[in-house]
Amino acid sequence: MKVINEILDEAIKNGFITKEAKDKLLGIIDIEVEAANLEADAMEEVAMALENFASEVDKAVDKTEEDLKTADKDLLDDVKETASQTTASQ
Amino acid sequence: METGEAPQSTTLETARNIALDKGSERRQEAARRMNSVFGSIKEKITKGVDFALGSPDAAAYLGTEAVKFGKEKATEVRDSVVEAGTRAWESVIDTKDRLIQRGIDAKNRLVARYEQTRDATKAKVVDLSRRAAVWGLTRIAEPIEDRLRQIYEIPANIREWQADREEVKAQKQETRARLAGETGEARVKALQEEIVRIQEATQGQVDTMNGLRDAALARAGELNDKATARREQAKQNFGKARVAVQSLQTR
Repeated sequence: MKVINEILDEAIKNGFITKEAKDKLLGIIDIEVEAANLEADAMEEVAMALENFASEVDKAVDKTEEDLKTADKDLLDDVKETASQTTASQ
Repeated sequence: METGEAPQSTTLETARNIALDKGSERRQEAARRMNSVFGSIKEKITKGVDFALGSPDAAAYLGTEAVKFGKEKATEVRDSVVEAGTRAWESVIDTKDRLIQRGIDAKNRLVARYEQTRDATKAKVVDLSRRAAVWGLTRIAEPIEDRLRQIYEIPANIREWQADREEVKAQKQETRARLAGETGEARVKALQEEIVRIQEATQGQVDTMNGLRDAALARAGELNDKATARREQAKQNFGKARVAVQSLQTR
């Protein structure tokens, strides 16, 4: 903002603005907007990385639940088999 | 223009609160489901042992007929049930181990992604700084880099999470040896205790990881909110100024 104010002060003092000063003002404005967008892009990229992390944790927990259910089902099959085999052998 | 809609930051705040509430509900629901599965595993071992003792209820549960076994046969059946329960316990140990590994992998990928995007952004700042110098703007990089340092800060609980995979093979051998040292009811009791222990450890791990997930989503919501505000601020500060400067007549 300091450089912008200097250019504007000079323009007010002279009562006109040179093409060079105008181009400089526009260039500075574009740089400032670009800087803001760069920061915003960085924030959104980090947010996306965090959302991916959360999604991976979700999947890991879901898979854990599935695996536990499989262990439970396998146990039932094993115990049932033990029961049916011993019943049949009696 | 007045649209009558809630301000964007308020809308995002509400969305984040809803996401956090859902996260909390999700955690409670996951804990409930996990309790239910572990309860089911313990019940099957109990029913199997009861079946060995001739229980008609246990036989019905297992879809077979009740049989009064002799002492030796009953011991043999109970040992088979304990062996099946031990295999289930081992399977849960492996499941917990895989959960930790997936969590470690997810964290490593997050850190790598942070580093990758941070380096790319740093290169953009250097380029921007070089172009800014042409217009007489110096020290533009420093304040941006200060703000970027905060952006690239990994949420504390994720950064500090240091999960170590246990030595699964040794753990299994040790527990098997301990169970083999017991007989009869004591062996069944020892197995049930091991299942309770692994249940607590697995649930604790899931709860911790869900906490990391919630922190990640909360921070992501906050950053998306800030990104929108930053773009809006630049648009407001410089949008009109650019139009005004553009319209100036030069001499």
